[in-house]
Amino acid sequence: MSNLDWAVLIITLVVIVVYGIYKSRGEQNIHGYLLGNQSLPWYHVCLSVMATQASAITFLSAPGLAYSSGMSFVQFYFGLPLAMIVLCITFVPIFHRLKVYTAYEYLEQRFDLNTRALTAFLFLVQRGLSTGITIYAPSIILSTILNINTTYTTLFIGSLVVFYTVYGGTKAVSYTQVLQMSIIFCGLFAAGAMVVHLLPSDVGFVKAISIAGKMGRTNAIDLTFDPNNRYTLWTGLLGGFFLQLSYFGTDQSQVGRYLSGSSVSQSRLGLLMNGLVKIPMQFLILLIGVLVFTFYQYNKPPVFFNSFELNKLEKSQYNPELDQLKADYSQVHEEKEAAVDKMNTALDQDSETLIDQGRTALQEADRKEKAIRKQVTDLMVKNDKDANTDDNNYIFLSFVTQYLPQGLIGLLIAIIFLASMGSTASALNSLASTTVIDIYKRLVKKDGTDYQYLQASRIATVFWGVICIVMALYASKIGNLLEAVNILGSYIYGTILGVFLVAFYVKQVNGRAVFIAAILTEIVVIVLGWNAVVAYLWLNVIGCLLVVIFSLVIQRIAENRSR
Amino acid sequence: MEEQKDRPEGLGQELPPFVKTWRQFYRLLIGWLVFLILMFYAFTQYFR
Repeated sequence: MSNLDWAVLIITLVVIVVYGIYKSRGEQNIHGYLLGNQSLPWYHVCLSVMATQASAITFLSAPGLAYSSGMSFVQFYFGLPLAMIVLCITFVPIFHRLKVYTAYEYLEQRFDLNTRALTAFLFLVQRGLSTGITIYAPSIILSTILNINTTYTTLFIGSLVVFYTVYGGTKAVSYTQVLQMSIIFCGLFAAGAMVVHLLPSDVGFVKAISIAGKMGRTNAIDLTFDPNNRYTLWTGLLGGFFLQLSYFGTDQSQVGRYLSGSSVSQSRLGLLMNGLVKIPMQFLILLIGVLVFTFYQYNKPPVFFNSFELNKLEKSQYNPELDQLKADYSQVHEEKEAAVDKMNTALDQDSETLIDQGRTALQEADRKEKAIRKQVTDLMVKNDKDANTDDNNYIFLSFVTQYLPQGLIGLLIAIIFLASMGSTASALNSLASTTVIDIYKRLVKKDGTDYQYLQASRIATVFWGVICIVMALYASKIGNLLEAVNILGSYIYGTILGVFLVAFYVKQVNGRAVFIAAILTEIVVIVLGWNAVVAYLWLNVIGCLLVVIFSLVIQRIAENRSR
Repeated sequence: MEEQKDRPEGLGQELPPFVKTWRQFYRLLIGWLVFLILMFYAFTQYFR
């Protein structure tokens, strides 16, 4: 990185952190620290829930996914607008009316303490683990730039976020997220424009997408019914709906965001605007990945995008074999460039025969490239059995650092930092609020003062920060980070959502029945997920439905016995 | 904690912008989702 990039990066981070601390200045109480005194307008709620969901992983993994397998991931978000509507009709008014701090408080009022404690515990496990992954993602950036192990970068970034969050509190988190999202939108637009600008002069925006489309990268909609296909219209609408409803309705990191709205209407409006904007935003992020894919048809991509792992191999005894593979790779890329030129001409002439020939040649070159990359990763494992052989998360990053102009590199890296800071801050804040409100205040110290709970919240934030950093250190062993977070969520969200749906809509079920049903469901979901019986998005649907069915059956059995 | 209980109850009755009822806003959002799916389907077919 140039001095200009470092200046842009440091100034942006300093401004955001100082702004967060400035906004949280003055005497605070527990209500202000955890819910921002419930004083925020709808656009704060909207940008805050977006910033919480759109972590650095979104900006690292999504373009990488589009590059390697196309745009089908956009379907994952199709259930989101529907989930927002259900939330606005049911969850938001109830949470506001009952004046709860956390979603799980409601469950004690409806059921019993056991159910509240179980759902709070499941949330703490899920959010604690996934926040570790959220911290790890941006640490990849510094690792690549400074060419040092991700362990050190994870420790540095994790500590920075914990420091910022402990002092920030909910209000500061929300204020900074508004600023963060504004910068993120500007930066992404600039990145997209730059990719198009860097393409050859005879390849415009539409032709770039056409070329990617001929290689199967513009598959935004998949209508097949294969239950093992992760991203189809149906998994997105149904599985995505249940996942998003669970995430926004029962995950405290989101509930805490919209509970900070100044009224039911402001919370509702913030969520509905999120429903309007989220899918187009995700589509544009994936489109950037598709454009980067086309760019690399004309410019030779690295044989492996993770330069840290590649450098390790270059310094090993396997370097001569690597050199040979690099030479083969260069030759294959020359073949590929020739095939892309043919495809370009075929598209100009609009000739189906020539397009088919070009597609076949491109796919053949692509197959050869993949085969060489596989040999490289095999060498990496031979050299170091713990080597990270998945470079999906490095694709966009590699492009940014190698091809974008000075200043913009710093801005885009700052964006990834900001996104991570926003979502991690929300997560740590929610972990602290659940620990203090649902565990400490309810089970350990019922008659504490406001100041004691405020201090407990700060200590809980530090505690979870440390746990998340430790988890982040293990995240490098997991393949695609974005999918890892979603898979983890699917193991737990369905069950928690089922408990909430029973609470809202099935009045005859009591606490004991729903508690047993939730435990049985969680066992079934883990078995199904572990054995990969269905695509992971379906686990949300299955988990939710099983809780409802089990709780009804158990309630009926209990009633029959008591008669 | 007391501060939270002092919030005025009437604040939840505000109407949404652009439309007359919340129900209309929900319909607008569903319409937007259908429009996006159709656009993405056309995008997939056109560039395939």
